[in-house]
Amino acid sequence: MTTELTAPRAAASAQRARRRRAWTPYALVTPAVAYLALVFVTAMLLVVSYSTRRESTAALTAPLDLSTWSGYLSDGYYWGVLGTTLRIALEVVVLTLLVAYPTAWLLSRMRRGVRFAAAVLVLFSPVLVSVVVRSYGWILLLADNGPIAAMSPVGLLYHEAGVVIALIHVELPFAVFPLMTVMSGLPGRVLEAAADLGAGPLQRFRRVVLPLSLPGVVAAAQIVFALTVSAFATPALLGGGRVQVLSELIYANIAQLSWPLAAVQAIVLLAVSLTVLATFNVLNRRVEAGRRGGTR
Amino acid sequence: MTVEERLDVSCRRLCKRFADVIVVDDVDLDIRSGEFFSLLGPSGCGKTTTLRMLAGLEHPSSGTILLGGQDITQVPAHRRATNLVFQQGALFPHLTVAENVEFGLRAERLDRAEARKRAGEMLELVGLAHLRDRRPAQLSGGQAQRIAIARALVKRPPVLLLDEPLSALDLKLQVHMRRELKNLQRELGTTFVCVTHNQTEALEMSDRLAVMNGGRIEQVGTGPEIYLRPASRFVASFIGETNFVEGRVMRGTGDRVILDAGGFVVEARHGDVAAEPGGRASVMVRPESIELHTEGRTGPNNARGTVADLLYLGNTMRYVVELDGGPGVTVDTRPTLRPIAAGTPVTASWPVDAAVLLPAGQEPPDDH
Amino acid sequence: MRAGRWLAAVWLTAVLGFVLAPLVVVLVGSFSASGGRAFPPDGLTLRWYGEVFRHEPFRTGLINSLLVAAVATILALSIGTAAAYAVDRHRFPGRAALRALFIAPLSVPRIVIGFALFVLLVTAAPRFYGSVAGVALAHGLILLPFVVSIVGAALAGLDPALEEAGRDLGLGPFATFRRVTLPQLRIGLTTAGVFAFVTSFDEVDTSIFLIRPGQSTLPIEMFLYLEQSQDPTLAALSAILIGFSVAAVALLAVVAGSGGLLRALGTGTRR
Repeated sequence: MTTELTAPRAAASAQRARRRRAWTPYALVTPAVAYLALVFVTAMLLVVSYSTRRESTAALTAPLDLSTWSGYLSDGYYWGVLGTTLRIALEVVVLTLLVAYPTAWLLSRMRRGVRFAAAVLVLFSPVLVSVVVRSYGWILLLADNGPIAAMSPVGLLYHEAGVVIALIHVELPFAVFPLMTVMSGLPGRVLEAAADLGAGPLQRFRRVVLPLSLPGVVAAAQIVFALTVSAFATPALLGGGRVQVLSELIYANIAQLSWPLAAVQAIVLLAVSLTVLATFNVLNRRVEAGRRGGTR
Repeated sequence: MTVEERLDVSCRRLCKRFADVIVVDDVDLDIRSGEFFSLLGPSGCGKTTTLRMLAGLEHPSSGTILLGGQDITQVPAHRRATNLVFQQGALFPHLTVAENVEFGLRAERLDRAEARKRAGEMLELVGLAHLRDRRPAQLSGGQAQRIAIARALVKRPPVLLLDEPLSALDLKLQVHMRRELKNLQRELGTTFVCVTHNQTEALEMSDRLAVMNGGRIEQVGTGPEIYLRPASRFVASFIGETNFVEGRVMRGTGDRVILDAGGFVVEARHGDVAAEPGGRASVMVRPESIELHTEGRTGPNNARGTVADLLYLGNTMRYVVELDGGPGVTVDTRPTLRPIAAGTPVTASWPVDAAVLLPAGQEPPDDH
Repeated sequence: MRAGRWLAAVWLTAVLGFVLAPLVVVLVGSFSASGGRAFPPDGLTLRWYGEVFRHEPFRTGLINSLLVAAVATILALSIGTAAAYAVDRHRFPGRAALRALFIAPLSVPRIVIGFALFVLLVTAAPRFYGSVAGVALAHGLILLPFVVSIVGAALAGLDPALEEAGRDLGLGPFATFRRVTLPQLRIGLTTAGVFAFVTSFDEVDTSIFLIRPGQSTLPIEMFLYLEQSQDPTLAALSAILIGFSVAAVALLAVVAGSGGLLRALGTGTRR
């Protein structure tokens, strides 16, 4: 049959096929692009638009009004909440890394067997358990009449310490994972080489393990910071209204029908998140570039 | 540069078990100071584990390791004077070439200027001073291996350990690096202990070598000793091409022994192998020791047969000859334009010195 | 050396204990006879499990959650797989920008997505506010980046020569996708699907902006219940959900091997 195909017809068919190939990817992405444009982009633009109004009920065409912004930025209370949000995020990042780093190291050096599989499964199992359930568990554990409160010198439940503890629990798997990935890629031979060349355990850590696992540290800090700064359910439940973070204010303002204020806060939260992500991306690129030493 | 001292290394009854598997089984070794010594064997024979125990990276299950007569069995790797060249270099990916070479000097708290100077000298010695600011990811395989050698040698170890140092390189580079390693060792006078599975590499570089199999040492000796006088069937077949002839011992006279191999009589060198008249024994003959004659011949070490196949291998012509009533043997001869055609009756002959009696009662080795 | 190993065991045990503690306390609490939140409990009962099923909002919440998760997963899986295939298997202008767009919702805090969708629904489609469709539409945004990443990774691990072989043997583009590509993507799609379903099912931060009283998802009902009271009914419900999570992990482990779960988590951590 192909032998019957004369040259011009073959060329025309090839051209048709080429044209179809050129359009295929665009056809395939159309649903996703339409969805993101109509829902995601429109919604985000609406948030920006709401932040420039005085009242929730103001018409879309109402003139630009930046009084909500100026009110927000000049109010010390809101700066205080932003400060609390960032402080909690920072505390959670540092403490989570302190727990996650040695844990990831031990797991990455463990022989792949039943005990390794069990440890990994236990460590990552909370990811699939609702954050509400986990927060509830911490409420029971940290309650004033609970087993831990008696030993604690500071207030736990409905205090910042309780929020931080529960958040470490929530973010721990997200910190262990990138650390473990980087550390598992660190060949044992390199550590042996360091020992063979006379480096003791401390020197091996400081001069080989730490610099080589730095990308994992950066990645872990980035994820934990981004997730913590925007966490809602855990601080709301364990803070009991006494520990106020940005995300809680956004939710509270919906209930009070202060949509423009909520919009301003949402934009601030988004800006903080994106700044953190971008900063860590730059850091990460530095670390990676330092390792590769430019192009080959 | 010169080495302050060179030392000998010994193992006494060294054993290593992983769970239930015995990887190194009762190994005794005496490596002389200043020699190039190789541990040769198939993969899984325990040679790398032995080397890693010398480096202190693996703890022996039992036995002792002596360095210059001192027991270092319990000394951890970072306090041992030996240094190791790892299989694929194991260069630190986050450090430059110069920083890699300085690493070991800085670990012993040598001051920065002195470390830099010595690392520079070492890089000159391996001919890669111009790469000092590169990262390992930017090096070719051969360059990385040279840096790994420099990184270990800069510490002026009395003994340098090398774990398959050339296996990651392409063949041409391997051949070049063999010569370079040997020259380096001669120049420095350091004791080199090299692990390899490549017999050509071991024969070319080593002053002496040990052949290992199944965690045990089969034979220790110089290259020619091992090739021409293998102590076991395994050594004979692991190194080079070999023919085995089985037979019944008729009598022994002085350092000779006479065997009945079925259709023909074999006269072989005795060596240290005991051969009881009436018992079964095998004899090894290398293919290049055998000559083919188209006219009939009689007497010991003349076996009649027929050419079954011939292969032209460039610098040799290889014949496969079916002996009458006996096994097939491989014969390597210098190539000629008029080879003996398949099907031609021939006599295969070899000198007494080329026939080596092997200890009986050994399983034939499997593939290697 | 031995001391180091001992220390390592103690550390790992302590960390795993920390990870399991709140889950264990919930499981134990669900059998607690006393109504309060006393721990350890002073008696055992199954009463609270009965209460779970008698509590009307939990029942409607469960149905809504399952519906939302199903709709959102199907939505994200269908358009996400097509998008991943286009971005991964074709070279065309704008490809990098589109890839960035598909991953973009990952960098936006969920609470912001929730608020933004709330504003959008109330302004443009009030009919959908407080409906399963509205919540699913929001969850789809959260799930899409996961699907594109996981399916994209699965596609990247596929030998393009197999598709070329399919075409060479006479299959058209669609038949090639259906009979060559799709069967090999099974593990990737299952991983993405299970991960998406569980993520949507557990979602709080976005959903809380989009529900109407009496017409809510299960985690939101639990959240609101928890704000009011902490009796063991919630512990019993949590215990049931933990059981389902264990089943989901087991399912994933069987279908994808433990590597699949870790890969999914790896995508999740890219947020």
